[in-house]
Amino acid sequence: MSEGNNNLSAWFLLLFAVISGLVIPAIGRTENATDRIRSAVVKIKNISQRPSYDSPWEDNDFSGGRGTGVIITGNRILTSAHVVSDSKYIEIEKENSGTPYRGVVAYIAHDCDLAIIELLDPSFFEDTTVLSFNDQIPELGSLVLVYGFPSGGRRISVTRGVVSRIDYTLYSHSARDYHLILQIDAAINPGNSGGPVLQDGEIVGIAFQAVQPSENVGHVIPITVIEHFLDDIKDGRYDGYPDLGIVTSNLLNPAYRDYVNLPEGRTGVVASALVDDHSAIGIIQPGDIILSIDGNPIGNDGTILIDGESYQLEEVVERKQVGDEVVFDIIRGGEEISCRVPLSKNKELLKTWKEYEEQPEYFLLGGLLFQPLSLEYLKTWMGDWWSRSDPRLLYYFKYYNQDKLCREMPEVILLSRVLAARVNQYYSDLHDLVVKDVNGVRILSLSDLVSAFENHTGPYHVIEFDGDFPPCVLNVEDVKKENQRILERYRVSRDRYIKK
Amino acid sequence: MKEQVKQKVDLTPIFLVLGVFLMAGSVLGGGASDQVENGPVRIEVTYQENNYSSPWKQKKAGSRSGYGCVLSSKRILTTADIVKDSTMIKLEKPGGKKFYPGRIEVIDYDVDLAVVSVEDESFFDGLTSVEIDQRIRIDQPVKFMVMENSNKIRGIPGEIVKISVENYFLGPDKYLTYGAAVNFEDRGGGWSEPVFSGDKLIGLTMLYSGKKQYATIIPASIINRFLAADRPGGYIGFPHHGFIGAGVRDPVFREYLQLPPDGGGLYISSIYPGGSADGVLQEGDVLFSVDGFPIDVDGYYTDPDWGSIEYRDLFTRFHSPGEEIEVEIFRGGKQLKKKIKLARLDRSNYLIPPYSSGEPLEYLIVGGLIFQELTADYLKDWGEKWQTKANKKYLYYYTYHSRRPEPGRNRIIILNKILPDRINLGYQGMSDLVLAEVNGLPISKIGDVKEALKHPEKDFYRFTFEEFDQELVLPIDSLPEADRRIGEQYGISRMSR
Repeated sequence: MSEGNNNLSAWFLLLFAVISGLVIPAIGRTENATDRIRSAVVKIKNISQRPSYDSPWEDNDFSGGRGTGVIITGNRILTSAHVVSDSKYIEIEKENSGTPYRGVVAYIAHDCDLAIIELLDPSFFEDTTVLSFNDQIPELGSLVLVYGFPSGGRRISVTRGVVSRIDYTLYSHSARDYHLILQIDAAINPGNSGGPVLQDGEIVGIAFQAVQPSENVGHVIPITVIEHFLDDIKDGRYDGYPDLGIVTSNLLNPAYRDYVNLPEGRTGVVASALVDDHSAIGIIQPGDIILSIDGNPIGNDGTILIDGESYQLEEVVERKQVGDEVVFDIIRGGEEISCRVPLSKNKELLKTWKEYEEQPEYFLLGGLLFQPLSLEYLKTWMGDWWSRSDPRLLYYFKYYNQDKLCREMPEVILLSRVLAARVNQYYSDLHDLVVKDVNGVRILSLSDLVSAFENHTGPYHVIEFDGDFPPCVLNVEDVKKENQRILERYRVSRDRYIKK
Repeated sequence: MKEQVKQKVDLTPIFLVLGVFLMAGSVLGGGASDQVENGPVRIEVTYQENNYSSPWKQKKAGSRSGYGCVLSSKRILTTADIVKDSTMIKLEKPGGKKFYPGRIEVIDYDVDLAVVSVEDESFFDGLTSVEIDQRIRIDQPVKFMVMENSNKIRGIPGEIVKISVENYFLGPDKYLTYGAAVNFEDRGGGWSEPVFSGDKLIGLTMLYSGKKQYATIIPASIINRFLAADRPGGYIGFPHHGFIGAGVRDPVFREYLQLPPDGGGLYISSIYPGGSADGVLQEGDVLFSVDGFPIDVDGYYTDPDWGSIEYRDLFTRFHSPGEEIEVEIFRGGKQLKKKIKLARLDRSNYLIPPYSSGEPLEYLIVGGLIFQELTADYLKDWGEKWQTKANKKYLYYYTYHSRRPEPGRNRIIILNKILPDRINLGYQGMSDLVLAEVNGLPISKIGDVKEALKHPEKDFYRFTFEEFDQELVLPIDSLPEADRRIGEQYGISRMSR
């Protein structure tokens, strides 16, 4: 966890909780082994700057953060994504050295909170060591050591913890995905983030987040997630996790099993819905009974066994890459068949997660600011956005897939607010309206909107909204005349950013 | 919307004092004679509201007290918010020594008015009925009639400061109101205190804000129309204009609509299906006049006595449902005359009813699954911050579609929650989902669920929900036993109502 990251303020509650762990525990390792580990653990300083989703042509103020990283093979430093996200400048320091080296982000994976840093000056690695991975998930109850630079400081801190739980949890950095985590009973403090968690001198995880209400509970990214990341970037690009897109219903209820005619002695789950644009749509059908995934029999509660441990069936997909396949044995219409599902990523049109390294998209015309609905946009409703935002926006946001709104509105384009000017003086109070049509053209994306304005030849721009609102009508000539002046008055450097 | 809230004043001590007086047999009869004899009677109400999260239960009973006045028809006029959800109504005369049981004859939640009858005619002995006067002007001094603890009638002086169309207390609609500057001091107010000018009733108090020392009054004209709507064939209610309008100040918008640059008009941005304007007006029309009164760019007409008043008043104050009203509209560059036949828009026209009907809640429990209508009261059971805490889909429908019955859909039927039992094993996490189908039949009211249960799919009932098309299935043969078990376990005497 980097210091100064105000999104995850939960961390500060845990500040300095386990300073006593500074003494390196003697667990039968030699001094040399400890030294070897210490010279593989580095301190990371990051200067970051986030764009403003409220005034998307501007950046917010700089902020600084600190974290920990570990040197792995190939002169690379592995750390947590949130330690180095939205970075403008990174410095890497070895313990006790005091000499900062310039680092750059080579790969960053916000959905699993991991990143690889490379150094511009390879001489940094001259007196360092490399740590290797243990590819087994540590056993429950086993001891691990957390290395890092909590709360800054020049000297390494080592904390001892016990693996208390292995479970799926939301990775709060992007709040996008649930992945496996190791829970340990050692507190992970700001600055610990990105630091290695070791067992027998080998990396079993990366410390990354804490649980807010409980004390002395830290979350660690396990080896399966780290390996998935390192495997993904082998081709020089991070693709992320594939999206399977099957909504399942359990078959715990005996009557439901009878209803779907599950044969005696078999177990599985029912595919109740397929999410648009995800891998399985068109291959798996609603009502299919899924019996197994890649040969692992699925229980009526939707779990499978891997190495004697119970996991949700999605764990098989968790360990695969975009482009891989999964094989399902299913029952469809009484017939048992096999289905191959090639794994892909969806088009991600409504961004329901926290975004980083991204330039917010927008279009500004005649003072009217248009932006796509996204989590980052909703967060511009100050305070508790989940309570305060407009009910229409929250509904479209939350039920986009559940109520198949994605089919009507692949992108939800908003008139987010109006920069008051003469040309829009009767509309300057409008905000947070969902744009339906512009000049008679149905708007399904921000680029639709731009072309509906720019290809229009009539004397008026007519913007129609979702719901019982009157249209907004602007005089095309007046907009042309005043547009540049509005940009200048509000110091808007450019009138749009639209991602290709 | 409703910023003003009834000032909450605990009235119990008053009752206690009163009780002592009654038992002591104090005679106060003469005391009231020098006051207006048509002054208020006291109404004491015990009420009990439905419990929306556990619909087979009722909430804790409460009591409230307010005022009423005697009508020439030997009935009592009061506000609906005093008598709603009542389990018992007691009336008391000024200086009275006795309670008289009362019963709601007519209630209209939209205009917040009710008529209460008294079986015992002797109640009216010595009471004269009020005369209702619609005339009023700004700055007019008025008196708010209250009964002191000593059962003496007192007139609290106030002054009319505003005549305008505003939100009413219970329903979502706006009607004419009077605003008055008045100080009820430590009594609190808004409990249907009759308002008099001289010896004539000019309105009933609907709301009072102690902070602003401001009362909102239901005016005589709305009271008269309410009383006139109580026809021998039944209560016919108030008409609703049946559209959503927006002002047309913007000269560019006027130009685009080809409207003359000067002049008024109200842009029709939406029409309620089945409402008064349906089939006559169209989205995009501009309303120029109603009943010959021109409408200005902000949607106001000019009342000869009171000046600018919002256009809605022309529909509600001067007409009954069923009557025709002449409007001038502007459509496609032309000015047209149209006749609108006025229709009522009441609770039955809502996708999500804004207030309780006063009847016990309809629900159905099958295999532990609790089904009921989505109503504003259900949302309010999320607690004080329900407008931000409740289910986001419900809030969206409530905010933007609550009075828009969709074709083929009267109400939204929801799965409230599931009472855990072995018959619903595996489903127990499901709650607050919108029921789309039962056994493949579409559902748009609670009766549809009961009907669909008569058509099982082989040996099963199948329930399908909107969200992700989730479904769940219950076995018919073990249901009676399960329902009996659930009833016993959770103390539910009736599985449906």
